[in-house]
Amino acid sequence: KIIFITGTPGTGKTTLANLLESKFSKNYNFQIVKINDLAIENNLIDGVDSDKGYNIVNVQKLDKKLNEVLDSFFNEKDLNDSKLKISIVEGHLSHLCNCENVDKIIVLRLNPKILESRLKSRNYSEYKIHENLEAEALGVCSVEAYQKYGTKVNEIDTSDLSIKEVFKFVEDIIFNKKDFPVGNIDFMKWILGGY
Amino acid sequence: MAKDEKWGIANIYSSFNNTIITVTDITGAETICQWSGGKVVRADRQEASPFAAMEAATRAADDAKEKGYVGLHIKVRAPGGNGPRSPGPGAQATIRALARAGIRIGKIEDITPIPHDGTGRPGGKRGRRV
Ligand SMILES: Nc1ncnc2c1ncn2[C@@H]1O[C@H](COP(=O)(O)OP(=O)(O)O)[C@@H](O)[C@H]1O
Ligand SMILES: [Mg+2]
Repeated sequence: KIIFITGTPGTGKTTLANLLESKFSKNYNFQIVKINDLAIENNLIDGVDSDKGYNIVNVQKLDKKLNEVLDSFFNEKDLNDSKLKISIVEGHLSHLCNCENVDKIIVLRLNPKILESRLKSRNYSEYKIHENLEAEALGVCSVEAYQKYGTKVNEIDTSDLSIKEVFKFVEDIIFNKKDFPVGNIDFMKWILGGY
Repeated sequence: MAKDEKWGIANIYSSFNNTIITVTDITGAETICQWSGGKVVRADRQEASPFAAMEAATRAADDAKEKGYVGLHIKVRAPGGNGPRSPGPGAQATIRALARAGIRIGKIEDITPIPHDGTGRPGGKRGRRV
């Protein structure tokens, strides 16, 4: 199984992926791919956005590299072959990659008001925080993922959930027990100044 | 654009669920009006419809004209664009509704936010026509 976890920075992707690893590593043949690390370690960077201060990832190169990493995991023969292989791909750029064999794309959503306090503790600039909050209010990751992957995309409102509760939902999505279609979460109130 | 004409800015926010239009003065400091799809239609599931977005645009145009504005520059924040599964009413219909309501359309900018932490995708033009 291949699962992409995406969402605006600060929504809890890395925390969730780490929890999945600790829960799944024993019973499954488990791989975790952290997209930001993959991009930096393999220098899939085209430069720095000087206004916003981030490394500009070359999405074509990222796409190619990710598919190589996934292929080698699923093609490799080892003693654990009887175990189900699960690959978790984590990062806000994951849904931009083309992967034919992806099973689910999970978008973590978070009320922008809560996201604001998480991003403030990262010491991002006001501008950077605001752009990410707008992206979350508009559901940028969900819309983009949906355009590429349609009904394979699930989204979870994590605003009132502990990380363990998020894990439970995600487990249900991975094993086809529950479905959380895109389009039911709406944080546009934040734009109107409503939170 | 004659010197004595009053121009403002229309910020269009478009999501899966709704469209919001906020008209400000040319500096962006003063809000002239704000309309959302949810405010102009009653049924909950209707607010994402192109009808709701266009209705909101028409109301915004009327308010702007009443305050003496003849034209609006457009700032669009609308993820997705015109793909096969494009959700939401899209910005295009909204801009057309402003024009149809008698507002002159100036510069159109796409400033859709890009999620980013230490990394991000390339910015700039996304190959979308608005
Ligand atoms: N469900 C949750 N409830 C409360 N805090 C959370 C939850 N998920 C993540 N966090 C916290 O939010 C912060 C950002 O999480 P992180 O996993 O780094 O986000 P991302 O990888 O999406 O940028 C971390 O401090 C983490 O502990
Ligand atoms: Mg992270």
